[in-house]
Formats: sequence, C-alpha cells, structure tokens
Amino acid sequence: MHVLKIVVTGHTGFIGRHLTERLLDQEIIGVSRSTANDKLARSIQLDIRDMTQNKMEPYREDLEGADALIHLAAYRPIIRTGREDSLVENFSVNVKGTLNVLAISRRFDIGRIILASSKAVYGDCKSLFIESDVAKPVSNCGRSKLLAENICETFAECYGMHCTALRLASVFGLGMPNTLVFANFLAKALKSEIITVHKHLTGYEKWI
Amino acid sequence: MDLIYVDDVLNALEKALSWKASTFEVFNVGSKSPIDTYDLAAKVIEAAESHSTIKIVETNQTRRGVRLAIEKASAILDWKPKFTIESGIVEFLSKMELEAKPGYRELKENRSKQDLASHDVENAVSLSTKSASTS
Repeated sequence: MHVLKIVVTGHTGFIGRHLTERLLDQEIIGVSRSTANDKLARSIQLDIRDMTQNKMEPYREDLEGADALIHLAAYRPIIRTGREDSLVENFSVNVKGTLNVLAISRRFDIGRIILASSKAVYGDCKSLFIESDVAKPVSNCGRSKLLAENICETFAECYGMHCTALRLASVFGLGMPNTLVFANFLAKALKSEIITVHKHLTGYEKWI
Repeated sequence: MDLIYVDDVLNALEKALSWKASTFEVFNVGSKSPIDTYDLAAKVIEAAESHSTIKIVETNQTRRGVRLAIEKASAILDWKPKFTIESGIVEFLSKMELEAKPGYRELKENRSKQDLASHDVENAVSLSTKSASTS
C-alpha cells in the first residue's frame, strides 16, 4: 500500500491527537507550537504565525512534496479580560496563520490542503444551513474562519492547489476542550452534581 | 445544536484526503441529529450512570441553534456520521474509562457516596486527557 506523507498542523490539539493516532500507518509530520503530547517521530515546533519562508527552509526536506496538508491549528477561545487581545490573536492565528500555511504549502509543492473550518461561518440567521448559503458570521471565530476559507479558495484559483474546507459542527470526544458545555455537563455528571440548563423563549439552548 | 463525535470527523478528514475532483470546495460535517441542552444533559447523566439532577433556569432571551445539512458530503465524499449522539457518548465514556484508570473507575465506584472532593474529579478528567494523548 502506498504510504502517504501528510503534514498536520495542530497535531497536538484535540482533533490532531486523534487524527495522528488514526493515521499511524501513514508518514505524518506535525507542526505545532506545543510539544506536549507529541508522540510523532517527526514534528516541527512552531507557531503557524511564525511559519515564514526563512523559518521553514530548514524543514524543506521534511515537507517538500508531501501528499497533503491537514490544517487543524486554530485559535482556541479562552476567557480573557481584554476582548481586543483575543480578537487580534484570533485573526492572527486563523487568518495570518492560514496564509502562512498556504504560502509554505505552495513553496514546498504540497498541492492538497484540507482546512478544518467551522459551522460558525454561517452565523445564526436561520437553523439549517447548506454550503451554498451566504455566510454571515456573527462571531469573531466565524469571521476569521471564513477568511481562512477565502485564503484557501484564492490559492486554489491562483495556483491550482486543491483545497477542501470542512465546516465542522461542535466536536466532542476524549480530550475535548473543557470550555465546551458538553465537558461541563460531563464533569458535573461524574460528580453527581446538579446540571444547570438555560431555557430561552425559543426553548432550551441549542448552541454549544 | 449540532454535536458530532470526533471519530466521525476523522472519517470525514480521511474521505476528504482521497478526494480532489475540484480545486476548492466546502463541506458541512455535522451530526444530522440536533439536540438541545436539556436532552444532552439527560443523555450524559444516563450514559454516565450519574445521580445528577437537571436544574432549569428560564431566561427571556431568544437564541437559535445552528444545524448543518450534510447531503453534499454524503453525495460527493461518500461520508456520513456513523455515531448517534447516544452511541458517541457511550463510546466516549468507554474510552475514558479504559484510558483513565484508576481515576475514572474509582470515581464511578465512589460516586454514590457523594464524598469525593471536586479536585479528584478534575484529576480524573485530566488523567483521561493525558492518557488519550500518550497512548
């Protein structure tokens, strides 16, 4: 069987850790700012915001000609006191970081890109969304992810790269961020504590 | 609310890896089975065999949930979720139990006594996360 060489950004994150376990029979090269939980034989410790040509040149041999790049690295919302800080960091990681990833991919002849996008790109103007709906994000996460998609589309059109964006619903599983409502419910259930749910005029909260 | 189990996302990523018919395309990856927070809390309690109760807090806000149509991914990528919310929770908890020993098991055995300090639980959840990443 042909072994694929796949670059995974954010391979030490929630989905990244599951993905690298799943793809053990392939040749995986991880790119992450963190070395925590890193079990890969080959990985590059680097923030995607710093993924410039100069900084990536030493890794040319590792990356060049890879069959695909799966771009999972993204800004993870956390509670902060300064909203401006999180907004800038969000766009810096999701937009500038994605631009870096695409530019390096092109330079190192990686023609297949898969972007982990989000349902947040749609906004909340209705309940059921199809891909051809106009995206009107209402959150900074949605706005920055939509721009990340636009960057992928631009590189696809200009350079013939093959880019696919997957707009993910809320993902749950082992190692999920503890900021998710699901994680909150589970932690309380394991302690047999009271679980509080909010009932709005429109019914129980449907957003997690 | 659209909630999807991580294994289904991995399946979608693998399907996307082997598909390159066009230069740019977007696909929704969702569960197709919406759930609200009350039902989610109830299902988590049931699956975890917990003694938790649910407290409902009414608000005067309006909020709309977002759900993703997945027909496009199903038709083009030949992908659809294999897990329901119920089977996903059960799978998740069984992995947590397998990989978080001894914390999670002790937690389950002692839960009815209601005498665990909260940090024990946090340690158990943290253990499971660490286990997942290092196995």
